[in-house]
Amino acid sequence: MNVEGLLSASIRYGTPLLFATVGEIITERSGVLNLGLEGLMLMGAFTGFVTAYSTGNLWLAFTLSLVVGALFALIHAFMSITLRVNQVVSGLALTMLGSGLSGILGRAYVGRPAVMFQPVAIPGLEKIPVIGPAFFKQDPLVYVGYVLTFFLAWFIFKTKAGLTLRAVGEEPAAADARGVNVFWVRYLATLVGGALTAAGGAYLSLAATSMWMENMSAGRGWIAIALVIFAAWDPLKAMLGSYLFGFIMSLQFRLQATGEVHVSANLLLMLPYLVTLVSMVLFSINESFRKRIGAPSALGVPYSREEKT
Amino acid sequence: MSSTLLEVRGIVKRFPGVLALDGVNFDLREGEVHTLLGENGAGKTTLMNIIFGLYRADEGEILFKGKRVHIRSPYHALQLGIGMVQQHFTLVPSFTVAENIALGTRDTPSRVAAKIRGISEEYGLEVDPHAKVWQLSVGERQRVEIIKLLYAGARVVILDEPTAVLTPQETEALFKAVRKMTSRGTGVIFISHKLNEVMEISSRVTVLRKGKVIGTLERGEFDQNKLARMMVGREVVMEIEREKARPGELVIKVEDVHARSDKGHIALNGISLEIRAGEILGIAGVAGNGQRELAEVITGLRRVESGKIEFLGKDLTNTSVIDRILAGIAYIPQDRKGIALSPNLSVAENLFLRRKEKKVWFNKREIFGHARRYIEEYKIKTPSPATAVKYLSGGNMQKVVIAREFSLDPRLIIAVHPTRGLDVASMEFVYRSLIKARDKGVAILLLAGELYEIFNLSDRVGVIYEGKIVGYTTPDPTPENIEKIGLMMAGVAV
Amino acid sequence: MEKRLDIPKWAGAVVPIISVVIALLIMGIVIYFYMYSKPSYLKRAVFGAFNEYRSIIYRIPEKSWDRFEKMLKAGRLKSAIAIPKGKLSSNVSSFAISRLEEVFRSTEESYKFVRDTSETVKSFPKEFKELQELYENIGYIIKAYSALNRTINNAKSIMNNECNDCDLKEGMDSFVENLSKVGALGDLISDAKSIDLSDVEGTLKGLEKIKLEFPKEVKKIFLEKMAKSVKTISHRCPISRSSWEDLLTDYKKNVDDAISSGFNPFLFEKASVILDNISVYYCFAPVVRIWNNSLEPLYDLHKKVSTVEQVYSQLSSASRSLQGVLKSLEKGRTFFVKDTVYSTARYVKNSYKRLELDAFTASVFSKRIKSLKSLYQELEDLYKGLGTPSEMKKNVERISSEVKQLSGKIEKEKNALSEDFLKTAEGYSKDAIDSFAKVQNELFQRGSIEADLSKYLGLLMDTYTYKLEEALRSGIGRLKLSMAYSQLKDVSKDLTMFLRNIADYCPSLSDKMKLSLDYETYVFDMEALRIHTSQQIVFDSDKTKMEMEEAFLKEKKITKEKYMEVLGKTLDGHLQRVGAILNDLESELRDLTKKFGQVSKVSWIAVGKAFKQLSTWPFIPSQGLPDTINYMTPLLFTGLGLILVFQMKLWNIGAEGQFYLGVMTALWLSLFVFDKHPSVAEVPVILFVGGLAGAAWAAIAGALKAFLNIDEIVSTLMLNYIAFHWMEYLVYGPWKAPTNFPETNEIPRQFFLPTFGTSRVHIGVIIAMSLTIIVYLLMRKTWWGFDLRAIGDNPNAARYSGIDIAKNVVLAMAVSGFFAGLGGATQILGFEHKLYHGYAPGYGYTGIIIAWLARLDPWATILVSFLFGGFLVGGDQIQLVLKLPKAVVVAIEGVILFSLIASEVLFKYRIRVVRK
Repeated sequence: MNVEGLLSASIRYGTPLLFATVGEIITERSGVLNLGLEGLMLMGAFTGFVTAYSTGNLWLAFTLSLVVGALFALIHAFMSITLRVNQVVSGLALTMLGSGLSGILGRAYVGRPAVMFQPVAIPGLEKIPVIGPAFFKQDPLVYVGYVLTFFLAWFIFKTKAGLTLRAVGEEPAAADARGVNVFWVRYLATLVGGALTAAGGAYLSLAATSMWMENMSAGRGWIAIALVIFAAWDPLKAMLGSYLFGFIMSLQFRLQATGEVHVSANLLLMLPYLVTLVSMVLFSINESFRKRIGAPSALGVPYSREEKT
Repeated sequence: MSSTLLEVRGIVKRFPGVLALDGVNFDLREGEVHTLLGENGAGKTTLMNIIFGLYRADEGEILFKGKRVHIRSPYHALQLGIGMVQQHFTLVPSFTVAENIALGTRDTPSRVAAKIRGISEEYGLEVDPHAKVWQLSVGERQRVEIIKLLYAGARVVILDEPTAVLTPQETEALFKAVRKMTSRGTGVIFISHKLNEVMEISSRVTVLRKGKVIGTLERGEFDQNKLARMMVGREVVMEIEREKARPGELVIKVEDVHARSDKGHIALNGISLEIRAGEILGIAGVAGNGQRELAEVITGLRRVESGKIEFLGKDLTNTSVIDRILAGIAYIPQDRKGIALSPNLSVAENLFLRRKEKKVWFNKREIFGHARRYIEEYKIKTPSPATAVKYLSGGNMQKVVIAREFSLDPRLIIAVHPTRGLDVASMEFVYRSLIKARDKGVAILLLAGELYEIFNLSDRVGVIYEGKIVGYTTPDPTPENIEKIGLMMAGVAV
Repeated sequence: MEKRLDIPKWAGAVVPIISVVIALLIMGIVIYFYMYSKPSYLKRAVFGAFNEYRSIIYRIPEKSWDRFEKMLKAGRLKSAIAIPKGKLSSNVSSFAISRLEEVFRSTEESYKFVRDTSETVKSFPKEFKELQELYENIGYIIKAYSALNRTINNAKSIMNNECNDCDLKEGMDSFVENLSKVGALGDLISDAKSIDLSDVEGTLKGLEKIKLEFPKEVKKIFLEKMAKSVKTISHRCPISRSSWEDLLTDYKKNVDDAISSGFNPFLFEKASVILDNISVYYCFAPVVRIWNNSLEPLYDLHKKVSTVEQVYSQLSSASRSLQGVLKSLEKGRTFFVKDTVYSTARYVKNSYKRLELDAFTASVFSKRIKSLKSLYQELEDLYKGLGTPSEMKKNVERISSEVKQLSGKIEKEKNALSEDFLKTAEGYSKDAIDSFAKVQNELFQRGSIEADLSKYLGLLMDTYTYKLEEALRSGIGRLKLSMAYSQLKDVSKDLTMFLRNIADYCPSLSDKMKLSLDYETYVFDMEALRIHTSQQIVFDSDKTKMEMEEAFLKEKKITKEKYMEVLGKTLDGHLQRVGAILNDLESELRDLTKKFGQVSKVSWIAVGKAFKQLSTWPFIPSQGLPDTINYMTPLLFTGLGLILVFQMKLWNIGAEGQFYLGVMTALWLSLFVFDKHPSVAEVPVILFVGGLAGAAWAAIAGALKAFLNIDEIVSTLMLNYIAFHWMEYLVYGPWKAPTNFPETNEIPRQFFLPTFGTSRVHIGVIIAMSLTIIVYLLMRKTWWGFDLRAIGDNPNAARYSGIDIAKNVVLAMAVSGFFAGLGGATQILGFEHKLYHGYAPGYGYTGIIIAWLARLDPWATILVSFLFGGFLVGGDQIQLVLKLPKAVVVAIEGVILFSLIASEVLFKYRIRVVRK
């Protein structure tokens, strides 16, 4: 298994996770917990695939999946922010609705070949020996992933808007007292998070493969949620985490394919989820102190000014 | 006479089951400190919340610089120039001071830091702009809140019970800053129920009782007793008659105990103390000096890193909470709703939340029966034993806690700020219950913020500073004693 | 004094249910506009089958096939096989033929595949096998009776000495032997044995004495068993109740006919075929039916071409034999000439007959047939004109010129025929491909059934792919002339079954088809016989063909007359009828596809019917109620476990994984631990240990939460996926059963949970209900329950009150896991009895909705899991009736959960009555 191939595969498998994780980081930074990532990714994958199949225009497909992602996240936002329902259950419902609806509408498109993003090499950079081809000879969405991650890292920690977003997540009462419209910030964050998660799904059906299959996200939404905790709500660490998991997933497929390790396929299929669990355990043992500060303290708690404190 | 900054006319506000404000009129002139005096629950904070835009008045109007205004939100109030320092600070702990103040404005944290230094020199409110808020002491956080208002150019500054969390020295510094503000024409509304402070700072005093304005007095027209009478409406029985304590056998011995706070800092730094049966040891000290950790270490809610705790001869250092309850340690925590009670469970259920017997079967009828008995005995005002505790008033909630803790017939009771946020009647009830328990031979550890409370109840007074008892004194309220305690509270060796 | 109006708890359940109904209505409207306004679902059904057919073609590995396949897939079929107009050279014709040969072989494979599936189905439960035995008994009775008949007839014919070799003894022996197999008729056997065979009259009288009264009770038992087995098999194959009823009545009618009409062997044989059919037909009916339907046009196509091809080979051999005549004439030898001419004449006659055999080919080759007829006449005259061998020597020249002339004509005829043949072949292939393309483009729309079907068929194909490849490699399937007689017999049986299936699918054709079916079987057998005999004779050239034929017949103990009679009857008698039938078949098929067109306009009524189905079907005892109860049991188990932890605000999303652990443990115990001498006593042990396994799995997540504060939502979810793949590993790996299905063996019969009467509702539901009491006591009546509620409401207060939160978190999760695990074990022992691949019923996830819908009240959980069980059964029914995908149920569940939590808001704001 050449290193280059494995590295580029890790990035390809990691990118959908990156989009979803970074999306959820934004949503959770604002204090809203959205467990509906699985549903959002499926809707994103479906919308992307259908648009690509009928129009052949990939970028239109990508944008449309962003729009649909935002729309679906709007349901969760309305439920959690305005109606202040239990965000865990609302997230689960969103996943069911998303996978169900994409299953129904997607039924006719199973097994249809469609157009997909072709790898585009960045002229200068791809010449760099090992990491060149791996990092800079990928499909355009991967580059969008790079740009997005660094932009968000800058946005959250360095800009005023980022400060406001974090404040809304940490101490909504303080933000409210300072004139920040907590509801509007949380709505926006949930919608943007939803759109990015759907984009992760779109990557699956537009770049990773060029076909649609029911429930093709196969649990990636849930791994993304674990990754948010793993990355301690920081986009840069999320990028590292996503590519690490991409590596594990690609390793598992490779082992199956090359048959070098004659372990039955199903045991290998278990690998990504097992690693997520173990990494959360390892992570929380030594970082329990730091993690507690990492998590937005008002995560999952609906805010209302009149609440009798 | 300086022009009227702010005027409120005919304000009415109803809360479920209670008429908080009944036609209140109030005005504030430029460069004036107008104190709003009243017991806890008199409606002071509610009125200020209406002015500050947190609540909306049912009736009445607000005029700012003569013009009628509808204040929609705290931010809108701040834009108008009305700022308030609330009891619970609205700061983001994980942000720096500069970041907190920059929040909501268009300036970047770095530019904000420079301006803060200017303000803090001018008003004598030193604070390090780059420190993280969770590292600051309570007093420092209050200073940040005030700077936040001044930074926004507030013309009206409302201070809600500011001194409750300060040492005497810090209180003095605050008053110096307030005088600086009034000299620059800012109107300050000062809310307190500590008469000595009111006497010292107020230009005018308005007394509020049960949501009605009793009267507004200019400086010189009022003295402590007059104000007290107006405030309570009957002779305040400040002195609780109690015989001399007859300390019995040694109940609890804390030896050189070290423990860490939630944030990992050293909270208890080798503290030692002893309490005998039938004795009340009052611990004075500024909040955040280890009082909470001391209580938690004794009740088993916090791990002891080193040192020993002996209770009736048995070593209880790191035993479980349930062992401590069975041994006879009762605990009345400061945070009623957060720690002591389960808001959504019924009054009856809360009365048996902390219990000794190891019964398996939960018999609802039996429990309700016991509950009714306690409700009569402690005169808890509740529609029925089945009502959720959160619908009770502060006083009644505390009665539930006391009823439960006393029902365990403890040998030691730890009470932290037991009367915080209670009306006078409830306060008296708490004091009488504690004294009754003491006379029955129960050892009591009282951790309170108000000095007068400690003087009223304690037989011995200890002062805690940075996790250690720095000294003991007698509970008599002479000025020298207060001075001595004040210094000790501030860590000055006496 | 204001009075507070507290809304009672039960009102809490009313509002969510109303909101759920609204949600369902909205979902119904969405489905209607998506599914019904545009393409018709029936059309999609056929499209599905069509797509499946293409997948068969993919599997044909030969590279030469690729071009055709690519064309087929891309839908541009017309140009694929278009034989270049210009040259009709021989290699092109061979290309066309081999392609179509491929088509037939793949069809062949599919039949074999259908037959193989029937074998696996034979491994159905015991009822099926009992039925089979009973069947055989009846079979024996009937065989005995026919043997008795034969003996009686023989005896009569011996009496009036019509036939000399009628054998009495043989008839009686088989009569006795068959009767002995059916124990019940002991006395009859003894009577039969006592008859003295030597004297014919005595035998006749004795035989008359034996009254073979068909035992009444045998019929009753038979029908009863029939009904029971039909029920159990029906539960295995989710086919609508009505079709089972028809089968049953149809079957009863046959049995009655068989009995009333005095043991007509043929009718009996027909009934037995239906029995075989039960399994194959009704289990995979929707699949086979649509599959066959799609193969129909191509099968016909091949039948026509194969006949043409045989005619072609006949003619070529005829011309070869004429060449032989010429050569022998030139050499002066005449003794074979007469014989060869005669055989050539017969050849030409045969090919002429073969052509007529197929009306369609006849219409195409009308010109050719006329010329062949005249050729035949010429040969006849030539043969007659030859006279005795001596005369032949004289007019050698005349004869050789006539023969040369004749063989020239035959040669010309041959070429002309191949010309026509190729045109028709091209026509056919284009026609077939046109029908492909036509059918694909305008008739069909992208459909929802297709993926469902392909998935289902995929399952079947996967398991059989390696079998098919193996068959293809070994070339068994090639229906070349060299096929042995026995193989052809098998093929004909399969083809018969295939045609029978077609008949069942298009009821309007049934009577005509039945007739033709009988004929088909007959024809094929004889046809095979004829091919076999003629072929052997050709190789053995030194003997005259006639002698060889006679030798063969003698060897097979078939009298010559009989053979000729059969041959004649076969060819002459039935020619027209078959041709007519084939025409009918085609017209029938054409209007069948037309019919698809009209079905597209499914009206609102259909959707209304669907919702009626969804609401009433699951709760009617005769229809869906047993299924509802069986669905309810696992839901109740998981639901109970979850309400316990949810009240602690501990989000156990892992019930699904814990359920799997219960499944795996139950299987492990019953298949590998207690399987040596399984006894009913071990059932409670298995259930309990299954529960413990679930508890352990949940405790892991509990410990992670309690000691490392790891978010239990994510950890339980990861555990779900791990448990699922672990189970898949076991099914495909160590636990795989020897059958070619990816499933485990069935658990020993002693471990089956008892069911209520004949229905398949197992007592699991009772265990679940009794557990509800325990949960109620735990939650409401113990201090532990109170502690859990306290932790849920205010963890700080709980810690302050001395409640050990960590211990309780782990304990609560374990108890919740125990219930889910117990649910899994009960599901295996009570319902599934074995584990198959891809088993992911989702009871764990639905349990979460149940817990929320029941607002964490134990008793409400029973009601809610019952209602929801009904909902899921209704969902399955909708999928079958309306051909909706499974995802519909998941989507509706999502909508229900949303409307449920939205209605929750109504209870946040209490209604206050304030009296002024």
